[in-house]
Amino acid sequence: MQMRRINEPVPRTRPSDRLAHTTRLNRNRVACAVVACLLAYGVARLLVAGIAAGSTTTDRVHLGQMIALFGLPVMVVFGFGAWKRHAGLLMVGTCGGLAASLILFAA
Amino acid sequence: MRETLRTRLGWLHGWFGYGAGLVLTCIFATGSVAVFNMEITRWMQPEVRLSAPVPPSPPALDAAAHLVAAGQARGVSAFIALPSARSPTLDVLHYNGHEFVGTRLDPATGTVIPARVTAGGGLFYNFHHTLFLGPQAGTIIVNIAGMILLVAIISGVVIHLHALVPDIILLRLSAARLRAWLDAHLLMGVLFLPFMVMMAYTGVLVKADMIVPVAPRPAARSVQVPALPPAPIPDMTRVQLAPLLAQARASLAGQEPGFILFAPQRVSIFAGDASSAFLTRDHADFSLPEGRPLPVDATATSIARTMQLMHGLHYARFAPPGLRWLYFLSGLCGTAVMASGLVLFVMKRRCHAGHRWAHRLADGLNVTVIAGLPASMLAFLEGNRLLPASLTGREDWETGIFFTVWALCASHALFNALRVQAHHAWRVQLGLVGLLGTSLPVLDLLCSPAAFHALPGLHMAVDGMGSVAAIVALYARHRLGRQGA
Repeated sequence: MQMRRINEPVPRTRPSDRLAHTTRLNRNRVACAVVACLLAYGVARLLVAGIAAGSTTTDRVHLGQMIALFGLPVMVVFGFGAWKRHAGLLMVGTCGGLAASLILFAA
Repeated sequence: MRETLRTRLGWLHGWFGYGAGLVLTCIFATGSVAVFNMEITRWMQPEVRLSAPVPPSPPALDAAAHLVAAGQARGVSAFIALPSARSPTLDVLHYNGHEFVGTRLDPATGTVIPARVTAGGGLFYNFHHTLFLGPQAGTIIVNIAGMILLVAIISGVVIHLHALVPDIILLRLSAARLRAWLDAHLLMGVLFLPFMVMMAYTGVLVKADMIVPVAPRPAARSVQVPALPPAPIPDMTRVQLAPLLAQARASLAGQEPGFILFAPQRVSIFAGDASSAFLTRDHADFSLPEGRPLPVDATATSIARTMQLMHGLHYARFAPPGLRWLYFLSGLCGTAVMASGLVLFVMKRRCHAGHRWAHRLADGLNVTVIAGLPASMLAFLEGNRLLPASLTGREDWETGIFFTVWALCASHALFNALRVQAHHAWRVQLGLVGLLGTSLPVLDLLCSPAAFHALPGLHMAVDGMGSVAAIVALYARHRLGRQGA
């Protein structure tokens, strides 16, 4: 990679390049937002099922719903916001794995 | 453009906020008004002039039981709502698919009050939690919007974290318009952040079963059980409700009875929702037709109590008038946060996207939601006074007025916005809100002077809110006219 001198003017990007870059950026953001929402929702459902697993009363279901609905928006923001190397999505997926293990342990 | 956490969450906040904000503004506005749903229903029934609640007399309870029996004979499942500070009549109500409607009785004598049939404040309440799209689809849409509100709040807090404290005291109305709108959005957003989070979270939790249901358990065995014949309904006219009510009051330990519900084999007397911040729905059951007390399990675990508190905080039925006003004003400020967010979203994109039809559509939708909705709400209240009191299907007419006026406002706004004349649509519709708001007290005084004299506080509050809406709308129109679009 060629280094640019510090006093060298920033190379101008053509409007068509800028437009293509913005379009690509927006497309990636939409895709990431959709994936983050779907993943977070799946994890929330798993959390409810995991916390309620093995219990016959509604208390555990309510507890699971309280935790899941608190965590769902946080997971969406985190999954979308921490985009470098998809760290956010991986983290949310890990939460899903933990929630799924709750179900397996209860079974 | 370099991608940072702030730019990324700013995009999420803007697009998620705008997409759901159109619906959320309507939900928050109608929810704020629905805090006073019973008071609005009383305002919309000027024939009911009881000011203070009195305990229901035995003849009044018997008359109510007769009405319930008559309803059951027609296949209508009705219940009795006992007098309370907010609604001093003895009501026999049933659910018509949208609202609780029915007959109002004088709790002292048991005579039927010839009150006009009205959709009442129940319209705002129903719109708030179902958008009038039915209990299933509507509630799910409202829940998803509530969840997106939480996402928008969290992303908004993250992007403004560095200036969260200075934003509380920063409002530069004389600065550039975009800056002034942003200041207003941030100021109210920061001040009412706890309220909005509380309402969004408790609101989603109220219907949690619809958004995160627990997976259905597999049926133990699939044995076909023959359908039992319906249990015979006992003769309700022989049931003495007054002694049962006295027993229920004793067993509900400090909670005032609020509702009487009937089942084929028993009658349940429920504690009123105003009894405490916990929406417990404690009840005392009695067998029918003997009236023998039935055992009730009233123990609640800490999780159940927490859920009851969440419900109670959202519905705010425990709240005394002062706290109710605080809920109302906080709700209006939350609505203003969302409305200013909608305006900001369109203003920020006007320079580079103003020529696009999508931008014009967004401008038209903003006018529909921010100016059209208050206009239709005021038209709904005025329609109550203008429609004949004995009109058949009156509540449907009132609901029709609300939606027709709103649809007309939407058509007008979209027509003008798509012709790049959104400024004209703003001016006309804000003027309409001003006209309807200022004419509301006049119409109320002309059409129901006796009710105004009997309940001056109630009528002045509702009419006053109409007038305040008119003043705000006319001021906004004045500013819009001076500064241009």
